[in-house]
Amino acid sequence: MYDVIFIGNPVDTPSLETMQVEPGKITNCKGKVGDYALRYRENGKVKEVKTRAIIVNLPHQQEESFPNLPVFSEGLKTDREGTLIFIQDNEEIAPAFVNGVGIKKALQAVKYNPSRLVYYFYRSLRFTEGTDQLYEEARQAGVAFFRYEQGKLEINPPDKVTYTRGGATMDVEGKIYTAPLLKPAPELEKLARVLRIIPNEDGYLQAENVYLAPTLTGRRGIYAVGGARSLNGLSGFEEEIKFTLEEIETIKNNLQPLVEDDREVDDRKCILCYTCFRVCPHAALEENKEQDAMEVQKEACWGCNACISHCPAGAISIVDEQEDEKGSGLQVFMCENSAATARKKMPQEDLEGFISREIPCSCSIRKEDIYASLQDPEDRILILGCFEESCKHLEGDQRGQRIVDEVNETLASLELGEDKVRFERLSPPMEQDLANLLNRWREGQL
Amino acid sequence: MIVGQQKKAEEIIKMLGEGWESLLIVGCGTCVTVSLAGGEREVEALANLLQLYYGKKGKKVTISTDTITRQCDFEFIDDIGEKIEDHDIILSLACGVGVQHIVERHPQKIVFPGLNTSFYGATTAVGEWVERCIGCGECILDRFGGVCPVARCSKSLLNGPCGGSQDGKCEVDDDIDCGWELIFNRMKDLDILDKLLVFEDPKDWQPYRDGGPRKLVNKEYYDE
Repeated sequence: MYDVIFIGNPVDTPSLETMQVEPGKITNCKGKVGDYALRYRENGKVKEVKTRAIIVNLPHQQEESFPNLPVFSEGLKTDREGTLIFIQDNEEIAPAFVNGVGIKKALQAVKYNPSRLVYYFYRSLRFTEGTDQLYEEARQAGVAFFRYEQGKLEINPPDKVTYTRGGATMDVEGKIYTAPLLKPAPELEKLARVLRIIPNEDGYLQAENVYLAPTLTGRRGIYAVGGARSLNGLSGFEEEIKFTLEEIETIKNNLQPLVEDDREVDDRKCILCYTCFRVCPHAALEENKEQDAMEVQKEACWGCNACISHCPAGAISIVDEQEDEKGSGLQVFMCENSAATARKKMPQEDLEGFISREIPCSCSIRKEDIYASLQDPEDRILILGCFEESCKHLEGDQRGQRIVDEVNETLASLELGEDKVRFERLSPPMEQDLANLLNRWREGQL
Repeated sequence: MIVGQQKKAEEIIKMLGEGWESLLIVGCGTCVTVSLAGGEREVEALANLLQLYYGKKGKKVTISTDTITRQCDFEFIDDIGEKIEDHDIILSLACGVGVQHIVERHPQKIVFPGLNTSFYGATTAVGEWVERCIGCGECILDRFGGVCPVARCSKSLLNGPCGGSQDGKCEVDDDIDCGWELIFNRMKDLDILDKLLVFEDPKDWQPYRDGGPRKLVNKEYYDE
């Protein structure tokens, strides 16, 4: 059993047993935090290794922003004379990594030869603690920074640019270096699938989510660092690695489940449809071949109950859980990670007249329960989930919203009321908004 | 597996009509449970919704539920035979095979379909299925790089694409991949394009529906 397997580049860590596997060779990853079984192909044979944790560490793929102009991350020519022109033309906000590399090179160039002219044209800069200092230092050393709007910098390879701002234009001639375009390494797409990690929109392994800083992925015990993590994954690499290795020490020495309750799959009801496997945002479900049924791996579970609410065979439940009585009247279901936290800071009188219930995630609601709770004419249900990218279960808010949308569409088609069920989003500090929302809803003004 | 889609509640209610007091909704625990259309959970949701609807209308009805392993086998249907007899109407959430199998076992009962049986499909994402086979009765995948021209070409062409394919998409709908582009690309990747030079005779459609309703006998198990 290794403590950590590096997929991609390894990092020196004397206190942990480590191994390294090439990203393209990984074929399968089963198990859970503290006990992963990783399969890979080597010399035509499939091998399996056990590890407590996995770190994916791959560089970004870098491409030229402009054809035939060198990128500054590849190193500068060694000549120390003549004017230097840096161009950072990223369409989106330039990643802090690119700033860091570009500004550092510009600063070095001026330091070697304070008499040379160094221009730094950029469309946008993004600062972290480190690059902020670097920027100030570079300015003081004489690097001339110019921000430009799209289309306002004419580039004439190999060595001329014309800069326009307001009514003024400036022609500059010198050796041009441009910021690279960063893209995810090509192996990441397959790795996300094999490691069962929900990637972000750009294809990196860390979804945009407040709960996933700094190197966590949605699957416990698998970490994404550097160019595998996100577009900005290299700005604080040292800190990222330090955090990650400390986490793995904890996994090694004191791994604790994140949830108290056990979730149980009834092997007589489970039909191995794999719906739970597919909806679990944390890859906590796996087939138990001996039981011929799925199994919730406790250490991997974050407790959202998406598996329970989505199982089409009703096979998953919480062990020894008391079933809630079906409510009636005005019922509010609050996600424990947002609205339920806000509720605790709210005056109790604002809650009078409601039946409120704390739920682990808005994706844990079930349409059959909603219909069952709407049997009296006065019944109405408000479901309060989290904002997008703030859902601890990554996609739970979207699943909750979809369930409510489908219910409402059906209710409307049967003329059973279009305002019976509402879905709203809140965050933990929004107790005042929660009070207002409840008041408006009580009055039927939502 | 067989992929189904639950009928809209409005259509089901219209189908059920008037003049009944007890309804049994029967789910099927195999294909349509996997395709999230007619398993235990869908049965419960539909029962609760109908209860809500008839409650609001002031109609007194009894709605019961059960989900059996497979409605396409009599043994499972017989497990709930008494329950079926005790209800006025049976609403089956199985594919059309299951609905008719209950009808055959319970010829005196009114049995309605709660699903539209869609196609034989594969799961591509949770909640998404795609058609890959039409059950033509004579598999020819070996000659087309493992991509079926009958199921995946909108026109079931056997000797190359029509002229309507553009950018890899079918002229019938931009969302459909051109089956013949898939066949060509895969066979090119496998370096077996020469197999496509063999002319395909017109397909014999008799093993498919065109020969009438089909029956299959496995002689090892059954002697007619």
